[in-house]
Amino acid sequence: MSHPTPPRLAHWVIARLTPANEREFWLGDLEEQFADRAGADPRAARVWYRRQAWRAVTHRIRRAEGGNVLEGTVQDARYAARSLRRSPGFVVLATLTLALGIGATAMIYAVVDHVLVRGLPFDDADRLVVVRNGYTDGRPGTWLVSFPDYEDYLDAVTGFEQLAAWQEQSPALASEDGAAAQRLNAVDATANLLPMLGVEPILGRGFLPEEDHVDAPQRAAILSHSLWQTRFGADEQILGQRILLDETPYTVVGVLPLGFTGVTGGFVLASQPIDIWLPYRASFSRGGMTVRGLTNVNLIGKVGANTTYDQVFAEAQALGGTLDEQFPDLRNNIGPQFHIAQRKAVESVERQIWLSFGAVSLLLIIACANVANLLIGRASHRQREMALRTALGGGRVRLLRQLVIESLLVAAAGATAGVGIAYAGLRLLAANRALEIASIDTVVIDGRILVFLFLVAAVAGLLFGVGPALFATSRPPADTLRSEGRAVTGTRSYVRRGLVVGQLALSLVLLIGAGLLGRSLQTVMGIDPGFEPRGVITARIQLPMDFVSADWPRAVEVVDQFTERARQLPGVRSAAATYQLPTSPGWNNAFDIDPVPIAPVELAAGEQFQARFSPVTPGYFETVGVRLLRGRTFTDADGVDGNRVVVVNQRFADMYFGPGVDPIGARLQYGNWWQGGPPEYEIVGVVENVLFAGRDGDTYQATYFPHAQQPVREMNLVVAADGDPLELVPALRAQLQELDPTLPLDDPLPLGAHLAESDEGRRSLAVMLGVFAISAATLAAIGVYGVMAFLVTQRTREMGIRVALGARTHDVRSMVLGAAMRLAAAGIVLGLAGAWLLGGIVERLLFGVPPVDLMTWTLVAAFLGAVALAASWLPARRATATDPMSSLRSD
Amino acid sequence: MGRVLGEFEHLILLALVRLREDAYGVTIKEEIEAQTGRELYIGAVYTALARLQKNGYVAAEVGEPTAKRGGRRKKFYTLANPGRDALRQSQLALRGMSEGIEAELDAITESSS
Repeated sequence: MSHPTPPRLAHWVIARLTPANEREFWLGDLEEQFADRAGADPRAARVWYRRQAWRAVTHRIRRAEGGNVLEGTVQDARYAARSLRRSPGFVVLATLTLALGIGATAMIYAVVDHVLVRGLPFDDADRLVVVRNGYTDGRPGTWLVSFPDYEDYLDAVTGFEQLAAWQEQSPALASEDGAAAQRLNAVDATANLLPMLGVEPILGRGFLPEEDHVDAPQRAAILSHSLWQTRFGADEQILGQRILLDETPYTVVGVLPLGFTGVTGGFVLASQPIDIWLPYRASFSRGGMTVRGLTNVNLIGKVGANTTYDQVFAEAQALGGTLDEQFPDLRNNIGPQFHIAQRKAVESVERQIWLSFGAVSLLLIIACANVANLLIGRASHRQREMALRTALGGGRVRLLRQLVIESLLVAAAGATAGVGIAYAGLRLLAANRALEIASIDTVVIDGRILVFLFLVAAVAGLLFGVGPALFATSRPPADTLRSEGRAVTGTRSYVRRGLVVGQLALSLVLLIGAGLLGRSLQTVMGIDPGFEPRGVITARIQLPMDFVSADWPRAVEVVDQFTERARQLPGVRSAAATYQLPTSPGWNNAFDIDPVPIAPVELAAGEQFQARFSPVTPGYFETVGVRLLRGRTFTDADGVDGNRVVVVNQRFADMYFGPGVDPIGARLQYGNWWQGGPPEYEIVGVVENVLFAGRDGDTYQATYFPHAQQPVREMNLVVAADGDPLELVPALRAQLQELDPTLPLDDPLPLGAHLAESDEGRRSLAVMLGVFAISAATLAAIGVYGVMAFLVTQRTREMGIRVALGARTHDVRSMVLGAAMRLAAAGIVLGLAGAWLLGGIVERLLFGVPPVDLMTWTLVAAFLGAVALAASWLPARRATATDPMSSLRSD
Repeated sequence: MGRVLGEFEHLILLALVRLREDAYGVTIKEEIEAQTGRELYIGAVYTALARLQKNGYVAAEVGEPTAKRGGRRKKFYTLANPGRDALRQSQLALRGMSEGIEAELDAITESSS
């Protein structure tokens, strides 16, 4: 057997770091010693050899002569720092420019990393599947499942490692001191949900299996970190304490970690941060656990490690088929839908995020071009210095290295300032809930982002540093020294102008993108939503579940009394209540029409009509400004003992009766799961359509019922008032407190705010891109200014001669401005071409505006032209202000 | 008149004298390590030897490859005449600096050992 060989990596390192002519002897010596040591202890020998590799590194660094790396670098850095200190203006401008580019890039990258790279913050997040129901015959639609469905899944579908169910609830937490109760966002979850996601309490424990049971010994509750902090003062003695939720006692058994809000986007898990977690089978949701037709249960499962998504889906499909056969009254062509949680969470925001990332990347490129421009300008001032140093024996490589180090130092300064910008920018994004990312406030600048930021800075530093450095060191020294320091324009000037044209072009692309989004927003804002939000305030009241199911008439009475009290308040024009606000997409209920109309809609066998369902109180349509088109609206006569009546919207009438057909008098057969047989409701009125899903949404067929005839647990008060309706809130609170102290008044908000919320994503994206685009245009303006100023300085002599020969100031000025306009024109043409090529990227985010929108394009191009003109104004003035004599003497 | 040797160079030249015919990287390094008690990196020895060779203080000769060295050759070093002179100068300087203070130096060495 041959002798042992040294560790390969260490050997490679040493060989790399050894001068070629000596390598054989060094390595030979090392291997000889290694062989001696290996004879005694092979392991120790390898350790020794590796240590030699480390020493090779330190030796190479410390070596004072020959190819000295570090000391020379330190020396260069010191020199570079000194030379930078001599031009603070350049340093400040370059640092700010880079900080803007790098900071913005890091900010958006943090979002990319958080949302798209890391994905859901759960264990085995890629195996999580949200299970819903849909049609199996290709019709669109997705809805929740029922609890009996869930139990069948547990029995019949074996491919899930875990399958958990949850449902959102909103109980009121009673206060200990007689103050108003607090509305909570609660989730009823099966005991396995949190463990499946890998969320562990920081205090106490999760739910025990026996607690998630109808006969649970106690009702357990797990607090979110934030509720624990805000409501219970982070008291560690909270475990075992009793709290009252909707008048029912619960026992706190655990507290969840900070940062887990339950809001991660998509179908997981809730739309608002969850305050409290309750065991499904022991809590509010238990009431509907046996009702097959009550499809209000969310399911999330983890596909087993040893099975595949397709296998599990096939099992679920088989179950769907069985259930279709078993319950033909409830189900027809209904089957499972699997939504990959990870994808679902990002699909609505992915485009916006990448668009933003593209925008900041352009901004960064523009920033780099700016700094490159500044460096080239600086290089021409330093030609003599460089030439002198070359003449005195400084090698070109050494000079190059020093210049590159200079730009790397600038990049480092920019990156450091960029951290601040990224940090502040993220705070702004979170405060504005920008990009419609549910978990945006948990995005942080951590080590990964910092590494990215400094890598970007380093690459940028090389990018904008190497070119100018090559320029600066490219001229033979004798030439420069002979030219008496008069810098040479030539190629360098072309490059600078090219950079400026590029900057202008990229800014134009950004400006057009932002402009198109802005125009879309404007278009959307101009749409009539079908109601009048001005002067209307909304607030929600929710009755305890037990209370409602026991006493429906009382539920109706509470709402009516509260509405009546609101009506009496000073300044109130009208008040009413509705189940669904006109801004909420709401939900559908199924019904039959009698006699069956000649509907333009074909129904499959066993299928029912679908319409948005909302009980309202008399005066609702008048309060929110929904116009009556035919028949009448509700009155106090439409009470629980009155004739059963319904108001439909125009779309409903058109859809089920045909355009122009009067539906008044037709009857709907309408049942609720809690109300036995289907009572008949007579259509008494037709109202105008409302855009339920925001102004850029669509209308939907809708039915409105008198609340007295279709009572629900949760109603929204709507109050129209003169003056600022928000001023009514304290009075409304006081009235409700007087009426029933256990009921909190939830989310008092102007109706306009609900409407604005649906525009929020569009608005924040437009504003953000606008900020990027304006920053880009500012940088481009600085670039134009720099180049024009440079041009004027370079040509002072020429201009002096011209003026001396009789040229008027006007001619000189137009010469400068003309040069600037040529740059701007080139940039604009290039930019328009770019915008045309990239139009497809924004197209899907636009509303009512094509990517090639002449108006936007013209305005933006004119704007950028004006910016370029303004930026070259000062240099042009300076050019005309030159005294011919002094400019001729300037050499 | 040559320059005064650095401490490490001085040690290397002394090692060459001690090792006679067998002075190459490993032996020089080990000789110095044995006398000074500090561990050296082979590159440090070679860097110094290269400098000495450039000054003409040492001469080098390449030997035969051996299997133990992975088939690589040794580079043997011998003291050249200028090296001898430099070494003599340094030794004389040391001796001169020590003359008349032997008792004190002994006391210092004793107390430190």
